[in-house]
Amino acid sequence: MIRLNFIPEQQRPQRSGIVGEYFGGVPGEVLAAALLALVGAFILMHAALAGIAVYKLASHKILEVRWNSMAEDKKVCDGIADELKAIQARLNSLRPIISVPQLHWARLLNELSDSVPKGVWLREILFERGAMAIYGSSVSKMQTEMVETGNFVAALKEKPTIKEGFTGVDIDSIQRRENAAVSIADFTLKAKRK
Amino acid sequence: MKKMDLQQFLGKLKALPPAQLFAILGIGAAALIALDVFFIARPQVRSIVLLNDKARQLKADIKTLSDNKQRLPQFRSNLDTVRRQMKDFDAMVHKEDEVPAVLRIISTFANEYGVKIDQLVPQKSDGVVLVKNAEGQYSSLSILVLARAGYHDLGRFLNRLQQEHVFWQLEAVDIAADAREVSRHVIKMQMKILVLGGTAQK
Repeated sequence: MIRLNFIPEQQRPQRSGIVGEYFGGVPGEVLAAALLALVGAFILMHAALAGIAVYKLASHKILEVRWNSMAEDKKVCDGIADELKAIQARLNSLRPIISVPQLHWARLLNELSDSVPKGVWLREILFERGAMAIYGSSVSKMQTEMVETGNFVAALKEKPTIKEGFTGVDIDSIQRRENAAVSIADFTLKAKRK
Repeated sequence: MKKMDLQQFLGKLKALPPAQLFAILGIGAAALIALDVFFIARPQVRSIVLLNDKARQLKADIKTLSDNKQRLPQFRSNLDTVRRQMKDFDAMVHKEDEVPAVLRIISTFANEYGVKIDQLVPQKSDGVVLVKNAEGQYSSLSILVLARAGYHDLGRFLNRLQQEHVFWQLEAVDIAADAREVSRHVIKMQMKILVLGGTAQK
């Protein structure tokens, strides 16, 4: 590189910076530019971060406004949720009582009487220790008392209360006896609670 | 003075061997980067992350609330169901001093439906503790009912008792034909009522 400077060396102004100087073979201007580039990069980076922060803050504010506008809905939902939770907690604490399956007695008695076919009558219905026993008799001139008993059991098995509350209905015993012109079958049915 | 210092400093830098000079410059740049990262960039990034987390949480909350708002009718229906369940249960619970009133209710309904009560005996020794909680102590009390009634009258009587939540369970029922009166039955029932002792119910 050719340097042109016609001013005598002694009269040249003293350089105060790094321009025109060489540091380890690298011109001072390059070092200064590198330093400026580094500082510029920092400024750019922080400006970008500040921009992102402002954008995020704005988004957050928008969400906050939306959230605040839903305050009434939140109050309603929270009220329902709190009450549901409180009742459910109470129901849970009472589970040993509430979980005991209930039998609708009026419906059961109704269904029992509806299922009784002609020629069949009941002598006793006994329910204890989770089992039901039905004592009855069936009478027929045509000797169909056994069939009628079977029909009664089949009809009982189809009744909703029996289906829901009992494991089924079975004939425990059936005994035929002759009585003058008719034959009678005394039966015992058993049904166990679910 | 400062100008002189800078001149001296630059002079010293120029005099350094290139390797040493670049090492010093490198260290200087690294220190500058580190200072910036630790004291300016990191807090900035942290605040962005924090805002991001808050926004994400808020977004999730808004979504949950919107979903809940849509399911509000279902929640209301669930609430009604459990409220009804609770109300039915509360109606079934009697305080210890209400036992005579329960007996009176049973007698009243029996009269109403043509059920002739022969005996009504509360069996206090049978009391079984079912649940103990903050409300008090729930126990069952057996009441022996001996009566005579027609089959359908009995059904109506039991239906009313159950509708009014008078008893909790029918532990045992014996309905037998009455040898003296064909249209009536001899009935023996072991009713269980729920009794709340200890702390007041409400």
